Amino acid sequence: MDRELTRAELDELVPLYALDALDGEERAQVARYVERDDDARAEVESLREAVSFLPPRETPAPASLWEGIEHSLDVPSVDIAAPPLRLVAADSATSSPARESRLSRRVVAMLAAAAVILAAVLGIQVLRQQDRIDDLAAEMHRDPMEQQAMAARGSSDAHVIALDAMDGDAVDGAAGAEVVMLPDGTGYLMGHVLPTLDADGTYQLWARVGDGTGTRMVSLGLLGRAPGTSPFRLTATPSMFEVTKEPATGSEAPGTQVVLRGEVA
Amino acid sequence: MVDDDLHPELHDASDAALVVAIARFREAALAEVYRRHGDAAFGLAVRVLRDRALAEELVQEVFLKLWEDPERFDPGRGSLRAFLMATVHSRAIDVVRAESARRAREGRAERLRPEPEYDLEREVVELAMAEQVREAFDVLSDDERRAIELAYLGGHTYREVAVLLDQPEGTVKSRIRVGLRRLRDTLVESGITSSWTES
Repeated sequence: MDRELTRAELDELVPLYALDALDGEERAQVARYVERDDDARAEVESLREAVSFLPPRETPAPASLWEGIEHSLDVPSVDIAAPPLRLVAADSATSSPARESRLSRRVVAMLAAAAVILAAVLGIQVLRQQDRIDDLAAEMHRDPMEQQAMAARGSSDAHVIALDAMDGDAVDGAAGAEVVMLPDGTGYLMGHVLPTLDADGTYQLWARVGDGTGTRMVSLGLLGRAPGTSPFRLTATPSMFEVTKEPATGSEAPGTQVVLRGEVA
Repeated sequence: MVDDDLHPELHDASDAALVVAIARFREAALAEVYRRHGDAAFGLAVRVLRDRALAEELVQEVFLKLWEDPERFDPGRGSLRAFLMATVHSRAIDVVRAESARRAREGRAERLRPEPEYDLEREVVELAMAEQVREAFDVLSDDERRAIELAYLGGHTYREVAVLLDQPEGTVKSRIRVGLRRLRDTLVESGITSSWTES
């Protein structure tokens, strides 16, 4: 294959990619497409879910298989630092007293340095491990609303609008979000990073809607101080979404502290 | 053997909870994952590789990878079963195609022919799935099922499937595509996929 596949061709090949029935350049092009296109990736995931039921289930794995796995498990141990200490002791036993003294000081210094490095390395490993566990725990506790939003986002008729963080000092650390709209007017604000506000503040979601007489901002709801994935309903056609920082009781019209904004294409 | 009687609390744990436990280096959690999916993973590897020793090696590698990098599994993107099966399948396909390429380089061209094991009736019996799952597969036409099985369980590309079935590539592509989507939709409608995903 010496040309780039069109989007239609790529879409046609996505199910075959899910089945690993492509090879060569075709496979590579579809893999790149799936990587960058959320709809295609969702399609692959759902099809792989379905074919995972295809394999014959009555093929008992031999006992040696689990034994091999169990034997190869690498479980961290607290004895990691023990071997170097034993090696140093063996070296010093063959040295003269003077050399032993110099060596001892040098060894103590080296050991101290090694201990610092080891502590740092182990500390980083522990932190990484904790990060890993935290991430997984967060996934485990993903709330039903988020699952609904993810399902909506994966549907073929969903409209996804990206919201970007606004420059300025409304809220430090806010990062982009997405609004997912379905044709029936159901919508979700999701995928955002919004730092927790003080007790006297709340985030509020707005949409700019228009009719024959002009445009206006309508409130889609208070999001609270630390919003999760938030549903809303909007039957009018929006041209823009905003998240603003407002007093805890909310506002009738958006204030000047705009945190996120996205135009509807 | 997997001895999970010592950890009954893991029997009802969700996929995500098991993977979190694996991240905490709980060997019993990996054992529970293996108890649930080990046979299916091994069965798939044997079918694609047609070599029990190679299959054993590959499945061992996949479970060890889960132990070492559990964060590769994202529960928001599907069930642990689908994740493991896709990993096993992809690795098995790599092995099969590398072997096929090696033979081609050595001038020992492989003759493509339908394997006698691809007998439709036998497949239906051998799949031995839950009745509900088997019913879902009944939505496929014989041609669709045959094309999907040759590709997925036989490890063939759609072009190879076209040769095996002596049909145009476009026809095979279409049968796989339409069949797979119908299968997926039926499993979702019957609640099988979603309920297993949440398990």
